[in-house]
Amino acid sequence: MLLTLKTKVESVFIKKLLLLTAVFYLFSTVVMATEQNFQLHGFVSQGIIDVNGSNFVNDGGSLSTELTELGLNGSYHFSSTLRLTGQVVYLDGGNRYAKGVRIDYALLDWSMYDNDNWQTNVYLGRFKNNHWLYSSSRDIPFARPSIILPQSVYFDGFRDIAVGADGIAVKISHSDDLYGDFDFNLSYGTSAISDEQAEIILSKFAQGKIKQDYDVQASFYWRPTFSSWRFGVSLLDSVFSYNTNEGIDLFVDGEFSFQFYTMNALYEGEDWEFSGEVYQEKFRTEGFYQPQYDSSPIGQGAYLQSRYKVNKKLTLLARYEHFYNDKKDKNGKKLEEATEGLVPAYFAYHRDTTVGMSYDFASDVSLRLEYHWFQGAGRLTPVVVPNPKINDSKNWQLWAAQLMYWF
Amino acid sequence: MRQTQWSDGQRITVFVLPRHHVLHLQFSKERLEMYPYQLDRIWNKLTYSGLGVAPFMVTSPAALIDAVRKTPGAIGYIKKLKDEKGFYVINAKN
Repeated sequence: MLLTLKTKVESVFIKKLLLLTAVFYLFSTVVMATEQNFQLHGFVSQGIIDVNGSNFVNDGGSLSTELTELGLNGSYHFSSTLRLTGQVVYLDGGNRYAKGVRIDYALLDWSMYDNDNWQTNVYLGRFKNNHWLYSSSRDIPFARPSIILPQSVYFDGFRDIAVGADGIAVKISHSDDLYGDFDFNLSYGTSAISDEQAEIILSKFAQGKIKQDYDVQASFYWRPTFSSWRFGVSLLDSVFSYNTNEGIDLFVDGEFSFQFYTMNALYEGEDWEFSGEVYQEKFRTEGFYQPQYDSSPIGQGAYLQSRYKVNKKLTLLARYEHFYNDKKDKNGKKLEEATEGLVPAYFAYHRDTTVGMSYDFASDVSLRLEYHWFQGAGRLTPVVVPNPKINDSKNWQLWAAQLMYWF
Repeated sequence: MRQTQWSDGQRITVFVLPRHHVLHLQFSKERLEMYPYQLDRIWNKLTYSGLGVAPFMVTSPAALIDAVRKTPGAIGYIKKLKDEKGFYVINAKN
C-alpha cells in the first residue's frame, strides 16, 4: 500500500509539473496545406553477409555484399478521404529473391469512414501484406526486428508472392476505452510470378509457367485498453497453377494450393519486448511431378523472440525458431526413404537460433549485427525440387551486418 | 488516437517533436500511455507500407507552434503557450 501511495504521489507531482497543451489552429493558410498534402520518404541500407554451409545467399559460400535495400515512397492527398501512394524498392539479397527494382506498392487509399471510434479504409491497387506480425515491414530494414526474419513465416523464397498482391484490401479499426483497439484486415488479389521467382520456387528444370490464381487473406488484431500486449490471428488461402512447356519439360501440368494460419502475440514493455508466432500450413500438390500425384503435407512451426533495450541506443535480440514441413515426418526419415536417399532427411525441417544487436547512432541511422545457427534445409531454395548437392550440410551458420539510414 | 479526420471532414495533420525530446517522452507515456519506440514502429509501418501517413516531425516547440499555426486542421502539443490567439487550446493538467 505504501509503495502504491508513493507511486501515486510521485506520479501526481510529475504530472503537475507537466502542462501539456494541445493546440489546434482554426484558420487556414494555403501554403502549408499544400506542403502537408505531399510526403516523400525513403531508406538506404547496405550490409555484408556470410553464410557457411548453404546456398542461402550464394552458391560459393564467400563473404557477400548482396544485402542491399533501397526504397523511395511518396504519398499525395487529393482530399481528406482520398490518397495516392506508392513505393519503389531496389533489393539485392543474392539467392534469397530476385535482384532488382520493384514497385513495392502503388495504391489508392480511400478513407471510407472515420470518426472517434471507427475507421474504415479501402486500398485499391498493389498493396502490402498487412496480416502477419512483420509482413508489411519485412523489406524495411529499420522497421523489422532483424536483418534475416524467421524464415518459416517470412520465407525469402516466397517473398515476391507473400509480400503483397494486386487487388483490393480493406482495413476496419475500432477503438474504445473499455475493450481496447481492434483491427480487421481483409485482402483479395494475385501476384505476378517472374521467371526468376519461378526458378527460386520450383527449380531451373521446370520450363513451364506458374501463375497465382488467387490469394485471399484475413487477419484480426486486438490490443486491450492501455495494455502492453497485442494479439492476432491470420488466415491465408491461395492457389497456383503450373502449365507445362510443351516443347521440353520434365514436369506435367499441376496445381499447388497453400493454406497458412497464424496466431501471434506481442508484448512491448519499457525495456523488454517479447513476440512470437505459431503457425500451420497445408501445401497441396496435384500433378506436377506426374499426372496422378497428390500430396498434402501439413507443416507446423513457431518462433519466440525477445528484445532488450539496454539503453536508448542499444537493443539486444535473441530468437529461436522451429519448423517442419510435414507433421507426420518431423525428422525427415520418410522423405529420405521416399526419395531413395536423393533428398536427405534434414530437408524436412528448419531450426534457427539467432542472437543480434541494433545500435542507433541517431534517430535515423542504425547498425544491425546478427548471428544465426541453422539446422536443416527446409527453408532453402529451390523449394519444390531441392538441391542437396549444394546444400549438403545439416548444420549451417550465417552472420550479417547492415547499416541503414532513413528519412 | 487513430482518428484521421475532424468531425467536419477536415484532415487532421499531426505535428510531433523528435523522439528523444523530453516533452515527446512525457506526452507519449503520460497521455498516450505508450513508449516512444512503439509510436515510431506504428508510424514507420504507416509510412513505409502504404497504410497511412505518419505525423510530421519538427525540431523544436517553437517550430511546432509555427507549424500548427500555419496548417489548417493541425494538432500538436507543447508545454507552455505565450500567445493563445488563433489556437484552440486544451490544458491537459493532471
